[in-house]
Formats: sequence, C-alpha cells, structure tokens
Amino acid sequence: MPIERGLQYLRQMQRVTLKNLPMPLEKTDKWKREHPDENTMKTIMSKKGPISRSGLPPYGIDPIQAEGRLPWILTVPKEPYYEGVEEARQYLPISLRTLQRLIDLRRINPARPIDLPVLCNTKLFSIQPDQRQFGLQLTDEGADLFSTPINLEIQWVSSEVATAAIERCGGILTTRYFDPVSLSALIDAKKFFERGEPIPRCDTPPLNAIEYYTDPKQRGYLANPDLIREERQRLAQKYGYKLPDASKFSPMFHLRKDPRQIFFGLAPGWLVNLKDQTILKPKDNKFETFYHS
Amino acid sequence: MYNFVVRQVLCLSTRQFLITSRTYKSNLSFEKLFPNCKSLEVVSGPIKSPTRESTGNEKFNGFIPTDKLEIAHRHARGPGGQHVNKTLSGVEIRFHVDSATWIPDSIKPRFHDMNHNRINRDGYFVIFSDETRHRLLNQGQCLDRIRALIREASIVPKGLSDEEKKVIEDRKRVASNERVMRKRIQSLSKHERRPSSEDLG
Repeated sequence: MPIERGLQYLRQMQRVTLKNLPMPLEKTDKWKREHPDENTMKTIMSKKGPISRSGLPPYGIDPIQAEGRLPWILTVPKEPYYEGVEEARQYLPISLRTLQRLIDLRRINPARPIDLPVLCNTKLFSIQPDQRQFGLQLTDEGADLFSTPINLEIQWVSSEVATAAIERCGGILTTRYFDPVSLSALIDAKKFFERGEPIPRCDTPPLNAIEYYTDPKQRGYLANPDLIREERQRLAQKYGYKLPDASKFSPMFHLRKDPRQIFFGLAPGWLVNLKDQTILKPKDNKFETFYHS
Repeated sequence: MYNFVVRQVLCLSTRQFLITSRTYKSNLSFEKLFPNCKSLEVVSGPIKSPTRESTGNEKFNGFIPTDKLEIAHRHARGPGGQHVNKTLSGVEIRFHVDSATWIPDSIKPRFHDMNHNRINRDGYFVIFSDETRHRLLNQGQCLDRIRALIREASIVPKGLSDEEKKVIEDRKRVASNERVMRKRIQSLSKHERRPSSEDLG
C-alpha cells in the first residue's frame, strides 16, 4: 500500500523532498523544451529539403559535407577477387600419373622413402621459395593407373581420391610443412652442402596452416597417429579395398621424420663436409638446446 | 649384372643401417606431442571402427568385406569420345544375397522385398555405377549405395502403442456417431416435407 511505503520513506530517508521521492516524471516546460514531441518537431523542422524528402545520405555521413551525394569512397564498388594473393602459399602440382611414370622409367626408387629432395633431383620441378612457393601438392589425375606401394612425403593434398589411390596399393602418405629457409636447403641438397651452412631447424607451420597439418584426414605430420589409423580404415571401407597387414611393410615404410628434421638420417645443426666426407656436430650447450627444442 | 645387384644390395643395407641407427628426437617429437596415444605407428595399432564383419544375428556394423564381393570394371555410358570408349571406368558389384554372411539373417527377407529389382533369378544382387570419371569414385558410390540399402532394410517400422490405438478407435467411434446423427437429422427433415396424416386431419 502506498501509505506504508510513504511511512517507510519517512523512516529511512534523511531528507524527504519532492525531488527525492520516486514520483512519475514531471514534464516541466524546461523538460518539454529539451525533449520535443512529434508535432512540435514537425512545426520546427523545414518542410522541404532532403530531411523531409528522405534524401539524406546513410547514417554516419555528415549530410552537409556530403552535399546530397555519397562520398567517393562509397560510390566505388569493392571487387576483392585477388584479396590475400600476396600472402597466399603456392604449391606446384605433381599428379599420380607422373609419379607412376617416373617409377616405371626408374628415375625414382619406390623401395626408399620419396620426399622433396628425391623429387627435386629429377629436375622436373623448379621450386622458387622467394616466389611464395612452399613445395609440391598431389593431384588425383591417374588415380586408377597408380599401382606401386610407396612412402610419400608431400606438402599438400587436396583430394581424398589421391590419398585413397596411394593407400590402396599399400603405401603411406604424409603431408609435411617446410619453411622457406629449409626449402632452399632441400631443393638442391648438393649445392646447399657445398655452401657450408649448418642444416637448419624446420619451423612450425604458420597459424593458417596449423589446422591443415594437425588434421588426420589430410595425413598431417602433426596429427595424432591413432586418428590417422582410423582415417585409413575409413577410406579403405569407403572406396572398397583392403589395407595390407602391418608385417608386410618393409622397415623403410616405418620411417618418419621428426617435425624439426629436414633430411633423413641427418639432424639439424650438423655441418656436412662433402670434400673430406665428414660431418661436424656442435658440442656447445646452447647449440644443443636450440637444435633439440 | 651380378656385380651391379650385389653393390645395390650392399648400399641399401648400409644406408638402411645408417638411417635407422641415427635417431634425432626434438622437443616436438611424437612421444612428447602425443604421450597418451596407443601406438605411434601409422601402420599398426588398435582401431576403434569395425575391422571385421558382423557375425550371425548381430546388428549390421557397417563393415563390408571386399573379398566376398565380385567387382568388375566395365565400359561407362554417355558422352566422352575416345576416352569413354577405351577406359573401363564403370564399376559393377555383385554378390549372392543368401550366402552373404555379413548381412544379418533377420534383414534378408526384407532386403529381398525392397530390392527385388536389383536381384536376379540366381539370387545375385547387382549394382552398377558410371557417374564419375574415376574408377575409385564409382566403386565408392556402389559401396555407399549397398550400405544405405542394408541400413534401410534394417529399420523396422515402429508399431502403434496401445494408447495410440485406443485414441484412434475413440476417434472413429465419435466420428461414426456424428455421422449417424447427421443422417437422422437429414432424413427427419425430408420426412417432414412429405404430406403427413396430421395435416390432412
């Protein structure tokens, strides 16, 4: 009841005035001057011009500066067809057909693991790291023709058919990332060793590539091996072939590079001397911790 | 020829030894990235999805043994010129339905009824696909269809519960009662149009 409430105010408040009490808003003349209603607005505002004729520019644009037109930056349309092309990664294509052809012509040995330096030594691909090229990608042309088991390490695979074609013949596929410094070492390995630089440590992939290389569906090198096995079984059932037994694989097929390693059998930090046929390894503690991190 | 073979074999064995003896493990090695994984090998290890067909009267677990299917590569139909004429990109899959152990026995009669169009007189289920240019994809499509048909056959329609049956009977009874009332009212109105004994008398 309002009487009770009024008595409560009297008890609790220090001073009771008209301004203190929670009364409905009293629309004084001053308040009405500051908040004009619709009818007064109509008498105040002009009855001509862009305001009354709904011809104002969009919200956020000064109508006086606009002079009745849209500003230039809004009149010109945006056609972002090549947005991000300066930062995009490029991969040169290699099809299953060329791979099979190279194996048949004995330019590649399928008994050993096939990775980027092996494919670059065939001199069929000219990869330029300074042109934002990051390696090779596998395309699915020739999926029906492919028939050799290989241990393949490639940089990008976009189609499921290509992975299925390799695994159907009893092979293994992994996708691997190489940063530009490591890539220039891999493309021409002999030239790199002649330069006399220690083997670089491979970086982790950039943020927009981590999702790809941790995905078991793309057989990424940072993906969980448990999930990769599930995906292999799933593809075998989807496309109707049988995965071979684990005992039938030669030891070369079990080889996998460490995520920081570039060459099989060589660790980062080592210096290879081709002339004296020796390898120099760093002994200092700080180099050891850096190259093993 | 003999010397060449021996030298190659020796190279392979020494290189193999060198590669497998030097093991480099960084901070990002697989033992550290995945400490809880069951097997670090991609090739061998435990798998959760079914690797063997379902035996006897169990539910269909989705596994189709490709050894027990007869897969034939055939010519594809349609346009394409020399490529379509020469390459065998169509895939036909056949299997004998009654002797298939990977289909549960409880489903087989329903499977027969639903797909009697695809089963021939000898009891073989035939399916053919030539919709894509790749043999692998066509084979995948055939198997996908087989799996879908088996799962369709395994869905038994859920019957009506007692409550639902009671509700349907009540509705029928009420509707028939209303119909009878309507008919009686109509016949009464028609009866009243006739000349009656009360008017004459």
